Amino acid sequence: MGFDDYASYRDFEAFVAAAEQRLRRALVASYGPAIGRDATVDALSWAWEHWDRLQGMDYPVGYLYRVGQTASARYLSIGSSEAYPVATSQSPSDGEPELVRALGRLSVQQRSAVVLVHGCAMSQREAADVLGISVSTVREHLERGMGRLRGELEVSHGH
Amino acid sequence: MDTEVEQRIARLAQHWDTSTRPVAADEARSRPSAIGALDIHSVVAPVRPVPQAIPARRWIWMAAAASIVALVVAVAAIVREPSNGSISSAPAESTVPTTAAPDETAVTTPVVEERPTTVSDVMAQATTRLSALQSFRATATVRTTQRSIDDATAVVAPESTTVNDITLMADGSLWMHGDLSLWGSYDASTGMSRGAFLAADGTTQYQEIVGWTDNSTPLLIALGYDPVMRFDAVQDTVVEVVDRQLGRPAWRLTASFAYGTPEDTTAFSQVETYTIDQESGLIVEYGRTSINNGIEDVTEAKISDLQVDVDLPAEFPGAFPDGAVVDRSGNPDGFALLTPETASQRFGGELLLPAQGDAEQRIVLSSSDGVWGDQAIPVTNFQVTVQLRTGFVTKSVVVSKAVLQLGTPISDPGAVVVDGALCRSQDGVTCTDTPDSAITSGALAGRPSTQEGRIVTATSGPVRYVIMAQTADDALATANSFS
Repeated sequence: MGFDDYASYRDFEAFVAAAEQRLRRALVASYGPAIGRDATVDALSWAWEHWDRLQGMDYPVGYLYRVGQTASARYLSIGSSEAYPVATSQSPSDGEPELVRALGRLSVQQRSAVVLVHGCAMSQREAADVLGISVSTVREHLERGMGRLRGELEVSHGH
Repeated sequence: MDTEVEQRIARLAQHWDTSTRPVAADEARSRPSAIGALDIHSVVAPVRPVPQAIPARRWIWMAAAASIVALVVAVAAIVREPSNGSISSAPAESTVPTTAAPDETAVTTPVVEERPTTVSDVMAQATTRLSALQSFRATATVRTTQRSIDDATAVVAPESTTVNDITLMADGSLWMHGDLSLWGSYDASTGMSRGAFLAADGTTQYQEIVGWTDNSTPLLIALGYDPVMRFDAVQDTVVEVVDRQLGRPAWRLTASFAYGTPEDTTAFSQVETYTIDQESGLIVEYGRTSINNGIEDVTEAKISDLQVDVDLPAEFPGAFPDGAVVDRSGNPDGFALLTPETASQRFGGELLLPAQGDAEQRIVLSSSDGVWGDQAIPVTNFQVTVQLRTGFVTKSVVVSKAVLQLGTPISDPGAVVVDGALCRSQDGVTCTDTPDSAITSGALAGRPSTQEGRIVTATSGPVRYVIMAQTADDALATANSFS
């Protein structure tokens, strides 16, 4: 390993330490824990394979989220027709199947915004950075997602 | 105050967070990416603003956005090539006016004649303008509509247009009146939002919400977008020079992306357009068209009659009539404007703060109940937000920690309480930290920290610091200035 290679090696280690949690949270929020984690691995693998290119980006996590989306589409097409598999065998979700199902009925943008902001305590601005969209778009997804979620959960509670 | 649904989401996310094993760098390096040799752009597929052959795999529904793309292509002056991220110049625009129309504005800042070639250029120039801006007043018009792209006559949601006059100060205080309210306000010094609204039955209703740390809710309701640019998250952006907006030069940024396949019910595309007034640096027009699940959402928002460096009206923040029935809500503990000394006292333990310099400083403390770790330990989350503001340009530091609630046992063997707050520990005594540090001077020097773009994250024991600025250099300089 040459000096340059070693430097890249260390830089990538530091990048993963800084970015992995946000990226994983975003992809898990979007696609559930099983596919979300695999997509995170793929996105970071892609990051390593294209490290020079990634270093030139202003905000690489938002870009890698898109890479993870692409990877998730591959998993979805292979293993499931559902956009948001409720894989209870892998994700018991602590007795929250009703909530998981309700989340699964949201659009992926609404679900991501809801889980990142209300689940991971990200600010709307942080969520926008990770998802690579504007704050106003996050807010819109959040309002619509929460409105639909509350409606569905209240309805199901009422029955 | 969190609702039950939000608390359930928080618990679920906490479970997911701890049940999905973190991905180590070694694991990422050892596994070939599932994306393989494909160019990510051909898969993630931004809506390319250049006239080139569209790959066969590009999706059918993208044709629905063709008119938008065509518009972008027609006016694009400078195009970011998606294949390598570089910027190439297109033939220059004809003429860029260099003087403002006197009847439209009181802005006196001279217009810069050089043309921006990148988003960073635009951002740098707009930031300079915004840092000199103290306030503005304008008429905000927001139009929204929703329709089915398969049936142009099928309106999902009827068109809605609102017009409001808004006065916005650099510190976030705002006053508005118009279609949405008889009057409405957000007071940045108290965290309180007030309003008077005309009900359908003709009666006037009053509302007061406390505990808001910023104006984002009323601002986005009134304006439909944030008028201060933050474009670091925008990919594949086209920069163009627009002849006139508000009667004077403007920049227009068009950002677009899409993903999914026709079979994918979550397929999504979006085009956002930001028009930035060159003299004030404000976004004076914002448009968004998104297509999701066959539904097209369109938002068009703009401000007109722009006046800068104005005062709030005398009636701010608004008063309720004697005897009025006021709908009061919000979290009384959600907002407290503090001095550095009182912030330190109320945060408890060590609280390091950045150098203030010439900026105006605003320190807000908020707290909320939550859960921590795999075992969902009940905690109170304390957060101090420090804003360093120059005009409308703000850099921020968010300091947070999770304090174990009284009488709660620590059920997580990997957790430890240090200085009253929870953190992960390998030795059962101290917080586990990473050895690397991006910060070289000041009180955070040598503390575990990393930088990613314009965000620097550091930890000091159980306390987490997140430093954000307009540029990466400024973020690091701020991180190096703590005492």
